Amino acid sequence: MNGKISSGQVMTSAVGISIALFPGLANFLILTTSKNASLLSILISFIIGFIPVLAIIYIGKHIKNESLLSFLKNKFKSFGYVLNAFLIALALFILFLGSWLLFDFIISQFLTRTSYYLIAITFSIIIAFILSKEIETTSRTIFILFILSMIIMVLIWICLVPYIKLDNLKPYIDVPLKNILKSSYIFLSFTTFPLIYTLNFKKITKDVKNFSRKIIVSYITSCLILAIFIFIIIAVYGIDLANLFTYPVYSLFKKVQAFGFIERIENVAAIIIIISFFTQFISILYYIKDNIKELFKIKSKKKIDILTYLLSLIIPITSIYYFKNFYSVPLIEKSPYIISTLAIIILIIFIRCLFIKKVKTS
Amino acid sequence: MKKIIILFTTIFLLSGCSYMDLEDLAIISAIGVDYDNDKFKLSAQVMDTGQVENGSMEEKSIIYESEGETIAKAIRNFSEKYPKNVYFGHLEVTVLGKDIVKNKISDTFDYFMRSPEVRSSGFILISEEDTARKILEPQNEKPNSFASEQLKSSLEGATKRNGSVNDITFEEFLSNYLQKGIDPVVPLIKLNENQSENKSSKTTIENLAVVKNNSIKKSLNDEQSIAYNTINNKYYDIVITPKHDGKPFGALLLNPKSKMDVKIENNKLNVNIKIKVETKLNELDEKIDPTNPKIRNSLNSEIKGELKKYIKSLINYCKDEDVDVLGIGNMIYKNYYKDYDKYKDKNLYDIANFNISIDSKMYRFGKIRKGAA
Repeated sequence: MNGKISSGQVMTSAVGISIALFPGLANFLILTTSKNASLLSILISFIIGFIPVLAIIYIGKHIKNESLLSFLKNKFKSFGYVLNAFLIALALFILFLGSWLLFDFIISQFLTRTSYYLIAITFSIIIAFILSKEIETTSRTIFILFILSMIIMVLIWICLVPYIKLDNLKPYIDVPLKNILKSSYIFLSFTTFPLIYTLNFKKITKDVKNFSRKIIVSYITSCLILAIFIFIIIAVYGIDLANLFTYPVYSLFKKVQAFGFIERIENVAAIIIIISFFTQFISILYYIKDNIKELFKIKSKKKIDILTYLLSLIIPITSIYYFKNFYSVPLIEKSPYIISTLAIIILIIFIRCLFIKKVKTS
Repeated sequence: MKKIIILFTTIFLLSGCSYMDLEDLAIISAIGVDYDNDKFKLSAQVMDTGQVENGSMEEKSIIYESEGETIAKAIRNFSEKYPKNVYFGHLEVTVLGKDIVKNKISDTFDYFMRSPEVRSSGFILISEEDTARKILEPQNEKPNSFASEQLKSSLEGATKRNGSVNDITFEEFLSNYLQKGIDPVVPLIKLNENQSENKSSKTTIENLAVVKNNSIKKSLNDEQSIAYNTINNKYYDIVITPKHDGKPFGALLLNPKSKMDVKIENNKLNVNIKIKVETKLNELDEKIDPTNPKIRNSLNSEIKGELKKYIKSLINYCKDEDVDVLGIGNMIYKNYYKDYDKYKDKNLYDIANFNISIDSKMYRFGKIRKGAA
């Protein structure tokens, strides 16, 4: 164990971070906003999305052999703490939202009589256990789970081919341009901005030369996966029916039938949704864990583990408490704007500061 | 030690939730929905297993009944009368009774689509004349019969081999119902009047009804239903009976491969229906010799003529009833999105110019080449 991970493992984490919020929320928001033009909005978003992705890579190039927090402290001194506070706020919000979306999905679709809190505790134990391990173990787990979910995903796509009616994609544009751009913005917010947390993996990446390339590959992979799912949802159901479903991807899984005996596999296929959540939660929580370690200068592994356990338990439980007790729809609908606002502020400050420093030094 | 604690905790937490024995579940395979006195009346066909005197297990079908102001409430009310918990995970057939068709057809969709337990791949049937309760009632002389199985197999069989009905799932129906410019069809079911005398099946699934603006329009007849299924490529092989020299003969239509498209040119609406079908002779008068090329061509033309007649009948039906079962409006919406508003309130079958082309290939004559008698 040398505490290092491969750039391939960083890539799998990045894909998980990008796609995790889609099955429970973004798919629904995109389909209802841009209807049949969802694919076009994804294409627009994919192209525009290279701006924040390249910005993240640009920041990444300035990070040498240090964690994201150390980089912030070294580069921006006390202002680095402000930036870090923004990053923590964004991380907590993504985890807060993601937890609720996953637990609500599980309870509304298959464990209808189980307590939200019981599921949250179960998940927290597993997440905390994984995080208490070395980063190599964690990354390898994520990598294996990613391969497993990719295999299931491809099999599902193949099984759904007979149900595809290309006619359902017409009319290709059935909403005003405003809706297409709004939908692109939603897609952009969920796929690109959370990628900022992959920067924290740079110091522990073995083949650091490939880091930037892998971030771009992971961004393209995520967009491709999401576009394929949106395409299949519209082509199989037609936009009017697809818009009824809260979890259109899960509804697609229910349709899978092959060779006369593969059917009713939706609960097995739901592992894709759960794995992407796990990946996102673990990758982002890893950043928070690093923060706690550095900010409070804790060296005892036991203390760090206890804090990780507490954190992985507190976030889902507060999320459940909040969403169960307060009217949650406005927050959920505004979530892409909250994520993007925080992320844009962070990116602009980052780039501006780095650029000014570069000009001064030259 | 830490690993063991986590392992045990996880084992207990993941040991399954809301566990229930199979014998405590009332597995519903068919449900009938009626509406009377502002209440939904549900009749669920449940498989009941029990031991008979010789110790073997016997399965019989029983009907659970309940009512409520909403479907959800009516389902919960099952528990007032019956000890078992109703389970909809294996629902195969939904029958909508005559009153629900007239009053609350769209209200029935919400519960069945919203509930995660119900699979929307079950078939849907409408009864115009009887209540759904009567349709699902087990036959007295066949207590072990399951209406849902019979309904499902007759529906599938009739779709594939008769062409007069169409096996439509709840999801397909709802998809068509929600789309712009198409009026969905749904198979009709009715009770056989003389069923007890000749011991035949209790119900008949016949023809297709059209749902428009939450009400049922006049149903399609056999010929119109065949035309609908041919255009939608919905059957495997069916028999039609065209006439040659005034004498009917049996022709089998196989694997239709039809295409329909809409073109708007100079504000004129053209609908092109192209049908490609293989045909086989399966019953002939003794004097007809299909080996003679002239006669064969004539037989083929008569088959095409017959099919064209069915399609024209369907078009006339749509014109008269002002319904759009073929989804011409939907095609305009999809292909001429900007023009859709101009056409959406018009009777498209009245203004459209239909071009029907039928390509029938006849090359199979069965085991004998000439008339047998």
